[in-house]
Amino acid sequence: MAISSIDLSIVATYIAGMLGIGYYIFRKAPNFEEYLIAGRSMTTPILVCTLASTYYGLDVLFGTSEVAFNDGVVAFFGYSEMSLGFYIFAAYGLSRKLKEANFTSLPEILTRQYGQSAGYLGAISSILYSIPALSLFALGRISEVMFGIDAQIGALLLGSIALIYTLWGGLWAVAITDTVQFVFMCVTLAIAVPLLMSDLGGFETVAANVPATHFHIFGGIPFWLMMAYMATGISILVDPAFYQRIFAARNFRQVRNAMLIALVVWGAYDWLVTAAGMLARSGVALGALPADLHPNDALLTAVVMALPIGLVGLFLAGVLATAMSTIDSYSLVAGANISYDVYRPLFKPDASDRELVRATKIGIAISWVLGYLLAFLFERLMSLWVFNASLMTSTVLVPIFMGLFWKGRKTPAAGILSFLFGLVSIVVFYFGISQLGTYDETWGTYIWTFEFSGSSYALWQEYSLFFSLPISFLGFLIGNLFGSPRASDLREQSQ
Amino acid sequence: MNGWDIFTYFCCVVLAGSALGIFVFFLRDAKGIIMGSREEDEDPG
Repeated sequence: MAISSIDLSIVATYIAGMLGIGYYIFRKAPNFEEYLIAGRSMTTPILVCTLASTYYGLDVLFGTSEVAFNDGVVAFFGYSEMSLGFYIFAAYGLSRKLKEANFTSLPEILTRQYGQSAGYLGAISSILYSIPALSLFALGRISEVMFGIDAQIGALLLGSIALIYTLWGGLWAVAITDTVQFVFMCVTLAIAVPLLMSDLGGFETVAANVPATHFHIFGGIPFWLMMAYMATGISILVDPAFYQRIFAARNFRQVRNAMLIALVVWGAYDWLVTAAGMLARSGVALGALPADLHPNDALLTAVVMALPIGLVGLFLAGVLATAMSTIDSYSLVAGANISYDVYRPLFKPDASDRELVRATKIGIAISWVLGYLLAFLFERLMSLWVFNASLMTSTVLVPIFMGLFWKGRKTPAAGILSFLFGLVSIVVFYFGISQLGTYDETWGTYIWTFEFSGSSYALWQEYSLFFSLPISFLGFLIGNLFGSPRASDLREQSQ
Repeated sequence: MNGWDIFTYFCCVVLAGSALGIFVFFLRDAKGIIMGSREEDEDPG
């Protein structure tokens, strides 16, 4: 991809700016609470930006546009907007509970409800979920496409920038850089799409050049698969970076308002990415874009074609930012899980503030290195990472929600069994379907078709949460039935 | 221009408007963050 020197200098200025912000915060020498959760003082504007840019990574930018290129408006109506209900619940129900209890990390919820062993399990799940392997891999691929440099070297160089400013400044640096990144991304996308429409014709031209099914709202997706896509949105309810931002908010109102504003931003962003994917497909049919254009590169190629010099640099900086904002946020979460949720209770219960900050920085570096190794040295392991969100949801959703919302008896065994039942069921289901079923090229997944009582049924790998969540809940019930309450709970009851 | 075009232009206005509006409010808060750090620096205690 040919990029002008003006655009390259804009990208370079952006990178220098990110480092400058990190260094500024570093000079303030934040204590542990400031470093990890910004001293619980974040207000609505910065929360909107950090929520939107952290949760929207390259998977949305390129994944959604790829689906729009191949299948049309279903990318918006079927994939992106089906999980809005979870966000609204997070804004009104979950964030209030979390702010009231004044937690510092997601595993701490399990520790307080079920004891230290459940907290360790939650920390392991959260660390595995937060290791930034996928985003480092994506950053490498972007540097390959944009700058023509080797993916491993690109991820090493650009990923290190995100690592350095995160190590220096903690959550404040992450959130402030997220804010700049958020503005770049939104403004350039909002300028690029109308320019693309002007270059390639509007949706009347698109309708003449793409299959009619591209305008079917649910695109012929089977009902249960649609439900499964919707269920993947539930992962936001256990996303540790999402929780961290709730903990960092000044109060419940600030975070609720931020989430409601972010919903509007996410909706507009999703549609513009979908529109760009469809316009790119039409552009290929018109001959304005290369005939062999890969659907995954459709958005990047079309937008770079539409934008003038200068704005291309801002857009490319925004694309890099999309990956970097995910790397910085999740490295920080994994680092904090290592220091606050494992190192402190296991080795140093009386750790000072400075020791905790230092341990968190070491944890951030460890998680970054693990992410890099997974992304480039162990590519087979990398494919396992794809089901990480399902693993996190299956193991901690039930114990966390029962812990927060169930007022009755809760035993340590309930938390631990709920976690383990969820873990075993998701692993058995996921790998069972891949062994028993066959890979479907059209849908890009494993499907196991079987006969029962004369009828034929199909189980898709995407259905995993339909099984693992009820089994995790069963584990909670069994643990609560047969386990003993903690001694501290018994004392409270007797008083 | 059809309904999809209008919806797309509307989303462009919403996205750019929200981003710029939020950034203005962020700058107001950022001023507070910087002032806060100066106050901390100047605090003899």
